[in-house]
Amino acid sequence: MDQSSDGETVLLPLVAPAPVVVAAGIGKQFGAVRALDGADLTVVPGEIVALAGENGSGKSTLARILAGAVRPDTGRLTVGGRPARFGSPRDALRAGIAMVTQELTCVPAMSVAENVVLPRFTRPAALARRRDAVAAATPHLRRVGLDLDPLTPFSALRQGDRELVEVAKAIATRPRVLILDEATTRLPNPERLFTIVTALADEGVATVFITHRLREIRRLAHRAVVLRDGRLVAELGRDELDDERISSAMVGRSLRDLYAKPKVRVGRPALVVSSLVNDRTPAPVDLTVHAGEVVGLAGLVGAGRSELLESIAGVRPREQGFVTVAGTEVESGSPRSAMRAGIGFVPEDRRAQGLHLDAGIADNLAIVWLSTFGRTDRHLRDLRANRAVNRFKIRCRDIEAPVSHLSGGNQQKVLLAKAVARHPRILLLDEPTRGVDVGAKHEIYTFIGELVTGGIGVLIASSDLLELIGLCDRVLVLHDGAVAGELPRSRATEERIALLSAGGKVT
Amino acid sequence: MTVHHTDAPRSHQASDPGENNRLPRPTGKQLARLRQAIASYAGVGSVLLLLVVVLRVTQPYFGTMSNLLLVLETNAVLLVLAVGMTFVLLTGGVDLSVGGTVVLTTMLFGRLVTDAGLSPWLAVPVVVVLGTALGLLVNGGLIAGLGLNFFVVTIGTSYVFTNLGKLLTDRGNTISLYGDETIRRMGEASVFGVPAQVLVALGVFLVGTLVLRYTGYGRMIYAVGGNPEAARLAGINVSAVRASVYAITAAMSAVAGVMLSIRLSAASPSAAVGIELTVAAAVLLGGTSFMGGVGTMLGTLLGTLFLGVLDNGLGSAGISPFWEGVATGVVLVLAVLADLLRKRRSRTTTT
Ligand SMILES: Nc1ncnc2c1ncn2[C@@H]1O[C@H](COP(=O)(O)OP(=O)(O)O)[C@@H](O)[C@H]1O
Ligand SMILES: [Mg+2]
Repeated sequence: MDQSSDGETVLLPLVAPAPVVVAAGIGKQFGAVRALDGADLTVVPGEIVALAGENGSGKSTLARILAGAVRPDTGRLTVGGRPARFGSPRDALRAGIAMVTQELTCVPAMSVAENVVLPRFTRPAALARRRDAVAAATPHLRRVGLDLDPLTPFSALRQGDRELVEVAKAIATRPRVLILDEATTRLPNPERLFTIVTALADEGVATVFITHRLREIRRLAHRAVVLRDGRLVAELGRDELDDERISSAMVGRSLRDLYAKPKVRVGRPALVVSSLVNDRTPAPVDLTVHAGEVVGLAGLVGAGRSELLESIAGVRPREQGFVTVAGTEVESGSPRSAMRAGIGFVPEDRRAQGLHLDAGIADNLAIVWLSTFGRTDRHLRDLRANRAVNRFKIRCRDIEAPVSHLSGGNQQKVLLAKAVARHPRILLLDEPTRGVDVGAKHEIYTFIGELVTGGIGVLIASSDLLELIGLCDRVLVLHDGAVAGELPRSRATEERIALLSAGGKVT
Repeated sequence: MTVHHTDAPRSHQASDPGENNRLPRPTGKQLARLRQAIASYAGVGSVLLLLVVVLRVTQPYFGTMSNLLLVLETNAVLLVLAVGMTFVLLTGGVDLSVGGTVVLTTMLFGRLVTDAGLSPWLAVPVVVVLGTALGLLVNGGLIAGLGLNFFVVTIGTSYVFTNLGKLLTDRGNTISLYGDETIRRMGEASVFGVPAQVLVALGVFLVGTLVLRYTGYGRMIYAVGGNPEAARLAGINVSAVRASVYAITAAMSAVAGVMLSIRLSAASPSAAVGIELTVAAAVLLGGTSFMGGVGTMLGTLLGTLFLGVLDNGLGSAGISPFWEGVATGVVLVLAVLADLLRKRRSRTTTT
């Protein structure tokens, strides 16, 4: 790979400066999920480190630990040569570590200026005038390229601008270490951010840059650190940053093996959506999924993917339009009618929307079979549950143990089992592998392959572009609640999807 | 879209192009902001105005200065409590033990002045300090410290405080303070004809306004109510802020308890029963969001005045006070509905 063509030459000093942050052997457990399993990270001043890894590999957890938002179970943290124990984000901010989180964390009702200077409001008795907030925030807003009235309420901003406000808020704290958790995924034009990060590096500010976009790693990073299943699996220097190395370190096997997609002859239309409008997708959406076909839905957070799936599944009322499954029309706002017509739905938030967390696998599956005057048959219930456990390789103590104790991947398999229990013709999956480890991911992909071979149509919304590219026959890209474009398998690349998602045009 | 302001206000910038650090302050923006501010009070504001006009026309007595002072005086206690409640509602909580705290502090004040023979001047700070500590340690500790639900906690403490207050009575009877010379004088005190109670309430309102608008603490309140996780990540001590607002409502309840005792020249266990709902209604009428993060003190003042004027007007027109309760409820629900409709409309126009 030609290095000089895609970035400026980086002159690293011959004598490595003392590291500003050292994290050693960091472990963190959430319930049954081992988010971090002895992760290490060292950052020197002025360095841009890419932290790469699949969804669920523990990147955000590591970032949150560095920023004091989560306390580690094990491991040591050293900042500026001294051991650090952060009790709250405030301690980390004091130590000079600022983070732009993966989810937006601003106060919607406050003005842009006040959001930017929010970390300064730490002394209750201090004077806090609007004018001062505006004066303090303005240079930082300029720096990130936001030219707007600083007193605009944050809630009135567009997605990309909101992200820039987050960045301004982080750099306004004048950090020694800046952590960006997938900041570029929400920016229509990330170039500006790259310029800022490079300029900060020249000033000696280190940046930990979380992404799974290989292109950005190549473009920006001095080196890359790859996490897999909560552990550091690779450290790549500037001249080792090529796609194949990074991605095989991320996935742990070659990409082709992971997305084992069988060749299936596409059949007749299974799901037809015409002119669908709901409260989040103002422009009418038309789409068709054929039997045996996998169609992807890409788009940024807030583009309306989940809402579209919810409307098709009858969970969210439609304002207009029709949904038919193999000729049967689905009523608006009726999950029951959708289920009867042959739609299986796996919602995005499995904890809030999909599972009864305190109930066991058996009861979670039995819900599908409940009918008002029907009899409950314990024997049949157990039989079905055991069959699902075998078919989906759900790893659990027993079928009565609360599903909250299962790992993310196994919870997802319970949901899948629930969605296909009544033999749907069409399966809607919303972020089916978010927070799922690589092993379970592979199993889920294999299962999707089996389903389409059996003639089911699948519609997947996902933020994981590699997943969409690897699995789908076609990818529809949503932008601001409208279909911005459609890419057949042969043309679906990360670059094109990202461009359409951000509202650009693909030639 | 109104996000990028690139249009009209540019003209004045052209005259001084060298300015890069000072902010352009185009008047167009200020006007827009003013309009926005007015719109947020439009609900209560217009209903209040309508009410005042109707009463003014139908009842000659209504417009007199003495009647106006009467409205303020009868609602001074409500305003003090509403200022405190605004803080709690802004953080996204609610304090339903306000009435209970008033009962407890009133009775405590009565006991201190009569049985303990304490001078009222000394009894006031004692009661306020004790009340504040109670709110901070009990409500604040349980809600912010242990993370219990604020509804459950304050309903529980409301029972506890009310009945502790009743235990301080003499078999449930009112303690008369009329014999105390100082208390009588305190009750009659006025400055240029304005009753002292009104001055205290306006003073509390003013301090509340300044704290909310111009201090770091005020910003913390809005941040915690608007997005607690954002507040935490910005280094704000969210539980401390949450605990503090229950101390504020308790302090205001203690002040209100003392004011009530002085106004009635008696410590009565039944004077403030159920007042927490009226207080919450006044604040919500003033446009403060039940979800937290949105609202102002000025709105609270308008909401309180609305309830006060309604009470005064209907009362002097000889209409049953029960109708007043009906009207309060209807207006409250209408205000929330109007707010919802306004939000729906602005959402469809901006996205
Ligand atoms: N607060 C939490 N509670 C429970 N599980 C969590 C929590 N945060 C993260 N996890 C889990 O920890 C794992 C790692 O998540 P995360 O650090 O967000 O990964 P990444 O950022 O690399 O996608 C995932 O399985 C995720 O579901
Ligand atoms: Mg993450």
